[in-house]
Amino acid sequence: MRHKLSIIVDIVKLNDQNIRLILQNSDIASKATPGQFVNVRCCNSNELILRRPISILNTHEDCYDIIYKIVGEGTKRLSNFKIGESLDVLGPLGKGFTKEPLDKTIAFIGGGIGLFPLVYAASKFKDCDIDFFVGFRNNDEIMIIDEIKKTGANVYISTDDGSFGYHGFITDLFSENIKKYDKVYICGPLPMEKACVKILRKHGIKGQVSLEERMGCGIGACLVCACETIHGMKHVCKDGPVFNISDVFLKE
Amino acid sequence: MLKPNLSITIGDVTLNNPIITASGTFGFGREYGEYIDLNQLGGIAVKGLTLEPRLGNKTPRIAETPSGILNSVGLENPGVKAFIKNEIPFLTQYDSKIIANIAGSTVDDYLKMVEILNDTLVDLFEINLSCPNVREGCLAFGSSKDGVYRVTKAIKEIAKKPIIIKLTPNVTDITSIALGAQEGGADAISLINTITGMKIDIKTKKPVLHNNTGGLSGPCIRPIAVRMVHQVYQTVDIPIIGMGGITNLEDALEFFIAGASAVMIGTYHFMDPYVSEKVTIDLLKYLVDNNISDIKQLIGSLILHE
Repeated sequence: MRHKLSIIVDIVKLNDQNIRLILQNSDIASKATPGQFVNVRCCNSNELILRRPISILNTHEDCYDIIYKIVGEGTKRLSNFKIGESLDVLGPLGKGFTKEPLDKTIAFIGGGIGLFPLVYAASKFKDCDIDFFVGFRNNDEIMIIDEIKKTGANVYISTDDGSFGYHGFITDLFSENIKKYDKVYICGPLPMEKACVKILRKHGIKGQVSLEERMGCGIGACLVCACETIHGMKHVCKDGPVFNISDVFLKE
Repeated sequence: MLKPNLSITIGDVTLNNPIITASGTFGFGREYGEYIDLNQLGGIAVKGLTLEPRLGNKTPRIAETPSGILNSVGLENPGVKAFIKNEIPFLTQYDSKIIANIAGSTVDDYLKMVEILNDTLVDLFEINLSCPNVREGCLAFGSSKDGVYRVTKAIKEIAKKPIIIKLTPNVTDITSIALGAQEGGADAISLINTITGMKIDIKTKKPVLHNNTGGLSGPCIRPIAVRMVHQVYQTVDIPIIGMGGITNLEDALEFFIAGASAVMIGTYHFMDPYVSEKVTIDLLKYLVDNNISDIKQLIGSLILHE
């Protein structure tokens, strides 16, 4: 039984590089959880034979949204699809963010496009006091802040060049009140993730981090997206992308 | 007309149909079992096994290239004993034949694995003499006729299941290597494994793969694979399992016409997890539509130009 295609309901250009797709597929929309991703076929020719893994931003009724950044040939071709056309999308894939009932005061730390799965989590983690920290390189990259605010979270923004919000790294901002958090969720560039995990470990705070690795199959069969954990070799596409911070970054 | 005969025989093992999933692209079958009916497959060649567990190479282990990919997984696997304990019970639920792909650093490694697997429910052995991503053994045996002959002969003497020798295309003359396998007593030959390649990030001037080089697979290698199957078919009498960039029925038919008795589908599973089941269904339909009563009528039906 083949999977259903996802119909492009709307396309919203967020800035020069980032595009939001609103996709209709009841199977994906009903099963998705925050932190999971979909694997998207970017063109109908076999010139590109890998799908592109893209995290899920949210779900609403029988639709789900994704935001992708145009970085290479695959995402460039993806940008050629029009409203009303269908995309071949597999998902939802991977394991997402989890929260224990006792995790009441939580922080999200996102860097650039890594913030998307965190926005999804913030919208689902009810009855929590949420601080949402997000770092961008500059003012032009700032996206979907209103949606983060809608979740009820307190939002803190930094830019590397000081063109908006706090001038500096997001790690400086969140570490000020770090002890109040029961759990911290991280998704962003690897150096940012490692810096955050280092701080959390120093203070003995629990957390989860979403990792990125070049993928092949996206379902745990080809073993290219390997990641060493305290439980042995795991694979980002199937065992992750979300891992407990106590399980990964072993050599730091 | 009656349902066409799709079955093929390797040694004393008969596969229900000639569509097999290629080692390294299909894990141990579990993951794809969520997408397709594994009973539909002729066989499942499992991820390459080694005597001891292997962690594999550092990442990145994959790079996309025009109509293909480079990989350098480096035989990450849980080891042959964990395979027996954790994977064989799952795989035996299905009609598909279980093909244990094994790789060693020494002849002794291969023999030990064959001994361990001899009394399990594995149906066939695929002897990997062609992994390009590990430092020792394996490919070294596969690069010379004598090396292939020696390993094949030693394994054949103790193996209780038919053996398929998997060949590398990274050689000057594939036919002499194939003869080495046949003379050593191989029950079948599978080819081609990946072709060694490299992709460079021009910004960093470093190879994209951490291993620097990797194995190229996907539709880009198909013409090379078809040519090699054709050459080997003209040289040996044992069955050939052809593979390299198969994405659909038409691609598979090229291999049968060139001389393959069966085909393996690999890399394209990453794009389409349904591809092997689809090719199996399409193949049956093709035979019915063309009044072909037995797949064997297609094998080696190539008509060369004068």
